[in-house]
Amino acid sequence: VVDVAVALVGAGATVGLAGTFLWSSLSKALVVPGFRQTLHQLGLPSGLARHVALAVVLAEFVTAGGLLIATSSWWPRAAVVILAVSFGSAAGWTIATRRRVACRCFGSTSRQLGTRHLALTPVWIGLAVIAQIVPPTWNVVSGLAILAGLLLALIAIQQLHLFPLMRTLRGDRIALAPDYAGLHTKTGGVQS
Amino acid sequence: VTTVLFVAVCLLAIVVFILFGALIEMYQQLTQVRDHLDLVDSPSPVGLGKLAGAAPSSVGLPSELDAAKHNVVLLLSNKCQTCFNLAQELSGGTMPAGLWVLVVPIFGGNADDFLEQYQLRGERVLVDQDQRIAERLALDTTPAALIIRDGTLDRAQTVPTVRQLRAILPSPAAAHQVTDPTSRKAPSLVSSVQAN
Repeated sequence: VVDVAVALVGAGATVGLAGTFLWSSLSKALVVPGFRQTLHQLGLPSGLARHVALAVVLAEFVTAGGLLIATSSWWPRAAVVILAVSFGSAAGWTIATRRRVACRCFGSTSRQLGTRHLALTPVWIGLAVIAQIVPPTWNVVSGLAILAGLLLALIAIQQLHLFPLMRTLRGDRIALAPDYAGLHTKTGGVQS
Repeated sequence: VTTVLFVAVCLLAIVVFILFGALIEMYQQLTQVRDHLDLVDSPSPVGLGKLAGAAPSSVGLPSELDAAKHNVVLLLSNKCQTCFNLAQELSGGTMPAGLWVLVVPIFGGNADDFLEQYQLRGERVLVDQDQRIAERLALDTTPAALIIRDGTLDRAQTVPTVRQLRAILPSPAAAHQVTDPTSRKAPSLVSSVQAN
């Protein structure tokens, strides 16, 4: 029982990290110019920031994939630590210099880099350590299946954002131009 | 084969995620644009000042309104897009009960083209050719609605959408009810108001 619980903790840490980095990577991929602006505000030259932004997106995705597929390798966990330390350092720098920098950690959010991100750094490192001590034992195909499942889960989560927006826009569209929604009554104008 | 299939699913899922993400981004931008342009479906009250409670005829509106239990006067200009939308909704049909339309031609424009374009006709379609009524009401916003209750100017508000117009229309029963105007002196119509 203890072995199963320990294995589950290791697998949970791995899947949790992979899911977080997948979400972060794909969300940033949608707002690369914005994330480049974040890096520029953190002190990188504009030209370099563009390349670093793409590199971070790619690194996060490869890390997520590596965590799930290359379970016996140490490098995905090392990559988690490097990325976590990098993000934590950026947050610490903004706190120390009292600068306001939009995080864009998960796309176009308005949250600023700060204490929350700094406080999460040891959490990411801790999960990486757990995953390193108790690595999952599934094979490559299972890892790919989990990766596919995570991606489909992220798409499902996206729908939670999409549908309210669709409802709002449809309501506005009907209100502003009922003709387009097929609500216009041709027989006698407005019906009271 | 299984590995290839899972890789294909992952690649397709990434593409779908990015496409949905782009859609969300576009929807959010549309919402922002509408908010920025103040196109949201929310009417704003328009102050009538000392005219609140006055007889409609005192500002040049038809004296029939002095006896109306609940009527609405819709002020449309011949230049604003929302006015066109509302006029289109009223176009060619019978005017809803209790609704009057007052066309205020601005920038020296002629209301005839507007009336012709949207086929606005009838006794309850008026033209404020010299903008005397609008000036007396101190209304510089169109489209706007004057709510007449118990033969007096009750309140005014903007009408940003057809839905808001529907919302303020009186019920047919209330629209045809009359109130006792004997306690109030009803001035005659100003010369600039023409019934079409």
